[in-house]
Amino acid sequence: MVSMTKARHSLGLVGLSPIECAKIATFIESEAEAAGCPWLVLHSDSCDALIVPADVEFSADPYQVLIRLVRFGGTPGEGLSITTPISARELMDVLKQAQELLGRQQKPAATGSLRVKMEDWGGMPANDRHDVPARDIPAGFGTTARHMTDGSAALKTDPYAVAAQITHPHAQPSAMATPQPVQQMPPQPAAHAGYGEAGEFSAAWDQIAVALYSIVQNSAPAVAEIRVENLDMIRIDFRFRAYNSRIPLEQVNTHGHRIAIRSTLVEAYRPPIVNLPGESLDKLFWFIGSQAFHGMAAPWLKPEERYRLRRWPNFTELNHAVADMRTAAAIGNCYLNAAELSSAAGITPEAATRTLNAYSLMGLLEIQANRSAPPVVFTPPPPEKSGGLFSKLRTKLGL
Amino acid sequence: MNNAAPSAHKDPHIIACAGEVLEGLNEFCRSLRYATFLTDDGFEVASFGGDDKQNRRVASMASSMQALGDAVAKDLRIGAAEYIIIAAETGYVIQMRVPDQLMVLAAHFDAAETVGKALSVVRLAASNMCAMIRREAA
Amino acid sequence: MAEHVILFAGPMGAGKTTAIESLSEIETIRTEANNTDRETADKDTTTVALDYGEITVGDEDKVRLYGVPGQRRFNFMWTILKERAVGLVLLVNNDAADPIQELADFLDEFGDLHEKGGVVVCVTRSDVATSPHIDQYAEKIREVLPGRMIPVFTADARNTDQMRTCLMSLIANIEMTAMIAASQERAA
Ligand SMILES: Nc1nc2c(ncn2[C@@H]2O[C@H](COP(=O)(O)OP(=O)(O)OP(=O)(O)O)[C@@H](O)[C@H]2O)c(=O)[nH]1
Ligand SMILES: [Mg+2]
Repeated sequence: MVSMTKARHSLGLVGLSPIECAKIATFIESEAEAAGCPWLVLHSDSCDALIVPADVEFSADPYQVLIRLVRFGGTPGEGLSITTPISARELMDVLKQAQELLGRQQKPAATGSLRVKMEDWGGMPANDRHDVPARDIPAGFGTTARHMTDGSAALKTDPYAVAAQITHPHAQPSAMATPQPVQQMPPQPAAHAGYGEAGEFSAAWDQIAVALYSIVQNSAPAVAEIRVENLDMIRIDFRFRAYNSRIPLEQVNTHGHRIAIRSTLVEAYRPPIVNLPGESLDKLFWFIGSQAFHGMAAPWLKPEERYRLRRWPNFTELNHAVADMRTAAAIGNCYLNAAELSSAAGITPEAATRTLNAYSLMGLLEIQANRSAPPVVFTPPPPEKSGGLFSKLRTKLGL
Repeated sequence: MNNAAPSAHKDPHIIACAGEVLEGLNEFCRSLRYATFLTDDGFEVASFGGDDKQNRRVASMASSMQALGDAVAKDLRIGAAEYIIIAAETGYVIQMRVPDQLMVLAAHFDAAETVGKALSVVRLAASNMCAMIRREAA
Repeated sequence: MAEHVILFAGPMGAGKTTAIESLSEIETIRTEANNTDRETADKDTTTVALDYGEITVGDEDKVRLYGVPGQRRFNFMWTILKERAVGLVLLVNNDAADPIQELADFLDEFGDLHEKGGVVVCVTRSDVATSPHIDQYAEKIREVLPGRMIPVFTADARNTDQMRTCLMSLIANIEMTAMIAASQERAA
């Protein structure tokens, strides 16, 4: 068990019935609360491990562990399998085996990397749409997720921050009402200087950010609920790009011990789960994205890539600083990586990284097609020093 | 002003009155090139002379002019602007508000006329217009 | 003294006069007339010449804010006021009959101000009409002015903070594009 808790894996449920999905997710959630279970359940076929009906033709990628669900009367074949009716014990056993397999096949550094669907760029909605159609985009976070597994002390101590469950469209909407928050270790003292007055986000929010990102990438109509300390705090309806929060975001306990996200696919015609118009999802993504990951790059961003805004952030609805406007102006007009953004906008590299994290979560970025393009060099000093109108006005207005 | 009533440029009675007043103005003063009654917000009510397009354009511009004149008068605290004269090489434009109405009369005279006479006929036409509207309303 | 003329344009009832009122630190100059076109915008008055407001910055800079009339029959004022402008705040009221078309029409008239400095789009009255979404505006801008990055915000023209965000973003964008252009010139 001890070795299990150090790793994190994603589990994809493919072709299962809504009831089977709900059952598996519930077992994993309650197991996580009781003893520890490092699995993040996603409705995606590019996870570390997949549970697929035994009677369905399915070829997994080499990195994936396939678990067959053998329904009544079927005969288990080779490899890992579980049988209906699904029992918690059997599920945990097979997941333990899957974990061992994953541990063996992966390079030590990548142990426990969290995989979520990433390859489906073509069908992507707003998020990170590339200006190139076909590219070799890795199927998982792979090595870029390294800091999540071996760089961050916080994550090692709270390995099951999140149980994300995405079930099939026919799942009962009432499933939303009973999410199972996952026990989490107390947060680490902030390793980095606090960002803003809210202080550091607990590492659980990194996982929330990852889960939100993967839901948006999946582009299927979904709803989600984020619970903090057993209270349903934030309800999200991705179909309307809207959310409701019980209290203002700034007051949400961001270093709490018990944070969970639960998400469900819904048919487009189902009534919204938020009171429309609600608040713009951008506001939530900005809040989480700019504070998660302790100022390091989000696992889905790549250091060698340059990004540019495809749409300006709607600052009037975001809790923004004046510096954010100039940052947006910089990355709005040319492709930049975090270091270049930092020097162009006159902000710290950490602030630049946080901004990129948030913008990409919000789906505002496009990636430069031509990787070998020379960077834009900003020779003159930022306008602040040269006394541009912007900085004078800023002083004048006391911003 | 009664908001429920159709605005002047859509009210057939007012349009008819305006046409009549402009006819009279022309008979009285042969140096008149053209003239337009317009609403405060620049819609043409009725015109004499000029083509449709030009009249509409004059109506808009006269409304802007009137408002700018009012803005200047207000800023200088010299009361409301009574009339505006634009004197050019070959003629001039006089515009004046119709008393008690959200309406302006703009008239273009050639250089043969004296400003004094042009001004007094415009004032007369404006007050005739006001009187006719009152009579209509009664 | 350096002058910076910022133009406020957009359809009737978008909030140009209101926005300048929110931003100006002097008593604004208005040219309002009784509005007889209630179908287009149900409000008492409409601008027939211009709005004017200003913000003085230090003793060197003055930001002059000019609002144009929204109704097309006053487009002679558009031409006059556009002359000196270096930036445009294009306001579009989300409750207009066809706000996306209004956006396209006004970009057609004023979009060249992007070359003279910069443009920002403010979608107003989105509390009155919740659609279209701001993404649709961004989409239209990409279509009408491809390759140009124009900030789009939702904003309430009555809200000084929000209007300041729009104005500051415009200025930040103008300065940044100038800086990039200067860098590229030097590099070439
Ligand atoms: N509810 C709501 N009202 C708004 C908002 N923004 C502006 N308004 C109101 O909308 C109206 C806009 O009117 P104006 O400022 O006169 O519009 P304008 O663009 O100057 O119009 P014209 O001069 O006629 O072209 C005012 O009554 C404002 O108070 C908003 O975001 N929400
Ligand atoms: Mg106005």
